[in-house]
Amino acid sequence: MYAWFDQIFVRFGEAVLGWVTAYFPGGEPLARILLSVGPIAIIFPLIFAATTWAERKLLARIQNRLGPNRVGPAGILQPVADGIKTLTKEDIVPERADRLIHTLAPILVMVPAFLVLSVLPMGRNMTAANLHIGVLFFFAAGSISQIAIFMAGWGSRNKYSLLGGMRAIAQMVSYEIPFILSALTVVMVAGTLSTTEIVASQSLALAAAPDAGLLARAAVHLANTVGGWYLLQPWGLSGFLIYFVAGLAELNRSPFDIPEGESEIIAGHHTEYSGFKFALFFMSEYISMVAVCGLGATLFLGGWLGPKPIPSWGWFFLKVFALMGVMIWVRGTFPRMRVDQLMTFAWKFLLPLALVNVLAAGLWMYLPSRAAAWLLGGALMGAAYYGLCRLVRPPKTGPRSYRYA
Amino acid sequence: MRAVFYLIAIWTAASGLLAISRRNMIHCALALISFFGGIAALLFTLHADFLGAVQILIYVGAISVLILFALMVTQDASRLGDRTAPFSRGKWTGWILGALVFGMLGYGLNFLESSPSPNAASILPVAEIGRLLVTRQAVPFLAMALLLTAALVGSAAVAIEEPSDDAQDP
Amino acid sequence: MPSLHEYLLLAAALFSIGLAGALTRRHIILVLVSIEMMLNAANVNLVAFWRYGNPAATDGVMLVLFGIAIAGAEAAVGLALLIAIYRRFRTSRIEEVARLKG
Repeated sequence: MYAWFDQIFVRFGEAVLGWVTAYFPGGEPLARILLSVGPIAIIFPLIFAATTWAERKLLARIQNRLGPNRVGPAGILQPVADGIKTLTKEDIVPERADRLIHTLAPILVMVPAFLVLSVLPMGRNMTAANLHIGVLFFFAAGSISQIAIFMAGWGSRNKYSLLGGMRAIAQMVSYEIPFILSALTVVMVAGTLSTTEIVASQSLALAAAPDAGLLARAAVHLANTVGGWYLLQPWGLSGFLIYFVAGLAELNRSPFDIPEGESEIIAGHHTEYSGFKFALFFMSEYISMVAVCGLGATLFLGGWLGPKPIPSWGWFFLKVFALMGVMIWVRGTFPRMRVDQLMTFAWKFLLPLALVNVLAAGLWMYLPSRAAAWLLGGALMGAAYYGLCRLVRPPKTGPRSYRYA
Repeated sequence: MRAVFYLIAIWTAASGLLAISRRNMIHCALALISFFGGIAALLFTLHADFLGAVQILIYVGAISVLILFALMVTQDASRLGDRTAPFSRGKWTGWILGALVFGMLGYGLNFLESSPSPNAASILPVAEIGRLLVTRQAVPFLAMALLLTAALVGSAAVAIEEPSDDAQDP
Repeated sequence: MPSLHEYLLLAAALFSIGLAGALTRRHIILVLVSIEMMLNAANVNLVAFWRYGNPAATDGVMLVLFGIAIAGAEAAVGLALLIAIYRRFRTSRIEEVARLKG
């Protein structure tokens, strides 16, 4: 029963494939492609719509407001109303803008957002493209979005857009290094770049005694599906924290939302976009957020692994939603950083910490005893954190001098 | 398969030509990024997915951003569309020389004796490359690490703003 | 599957485009970029030889990997130099940077 429910989508896909090969011989490759692409193209926009609503509700709760509550029960249909609104808005291109680039940017920004989803294992046997270089592909495809943001910033011919675009790519290039280094530790320990194999490497294979009671068997099952998560190892814990912080910066989300800081530069590279083009940018941001949370869950939280009553895809999306909830919580809690703090934090704090973390992962791999690895790895990360906190001083800022144009 | 190759070939060559012939500097840089993407696609068709992904990560993700930054830092936004004389005086020599080199290389290809068929390797073995990097190729690998560190420190040292410079030319 | 010949011809074309760019453009960045294009064309050649040759002989592929790393270092240093040059000469045209004494 559980296995059937766990594989329900896989079975459905196989059934459709069988039907297609029976009635349209030769249509099989196309059907395979559609079966991989279709669910991604349908489910993630829906998740995007739900996330916008959830974020507004959650932020409202944090700020002691009500949030959207007019359209549908508890405002649940608000995303639909927003969608209709953006679709019917006038599409304005600034007169002096570089038309081609201005139009191309919102289209290009969607490409990496959807591409990276293809390597996420969303459940047992549920990876759209099971590449053997999955993790590398994720980062490679993700790095295309910087170019799209630059095109949006430059093509708008607006100083706020340009400032926002430059801030965005400076930030994304800087945070990409700790971002990748934190994922590198997992690749080192798992010994593979494939996302499915990374998830598989996080499951344990302890066997319960044949005469064990129900409780003991359940405990062994829990240990098998949860005990192997990389989060539960010293380098994995610090790696996950580095990944999460750097991921927030990669997504330009609060407290790293400097590129869009509305109190400083209106809306950054979005400033000159209206209507559907703006909706595309908005959508790509939220879908990238799902993707970064999904890779975080895959690398550190055991992907679709989890104890039994909940199916594997249920676990994956539970973890993703939990991580997204934390991101929204962070947005409601922390104030925005300054540009100088941002760069200092990336290059002088996060990057050395990520490098020490790689060393800790190496210790974990080669120290014979787990206790010694825990002690040494934990001590190493603790010392690095403490030392960097003491060493890295925030940049000194003198009194401000204002110049009025 | 062959049609895909020709599509990519046309895309890459067209982006390359655009990158060297557009007058607007930013358009050149964006065409160049498309060129890098085309090269990555070529590597994918050659079943070297690892190299293709590395190509995108390094060239599209890092080097082109560096180029865009350099363009933005060294010119005012108003001059970016600078249309005055983007080509050097000897430009015709350059075009002719480029065409000649292409002709020579293409002519040389006529002497390719056999036309080998692709080998059976389905994909580039990433684990094997990793093993080679720490065994047989360890020395170049370390040299590369040294080079990249030196480049990082060196470029930061060269590009850092000297306060005395600022005083001289405002 | 296209033949080795076609890959080599394409790489030759891309190399020549890079060469023509390096010889005709005035802006320092575009000269640097053209050199990167030539390096990329050579990489395609190396990988094509791996694909159509012995799969166990990965030396050419290693060379591509090192080449990409070198290109990264080259771009970083070259663009830092460009910024230094621009600060000194207030130009990024290659022929205007002809003074040997700054």
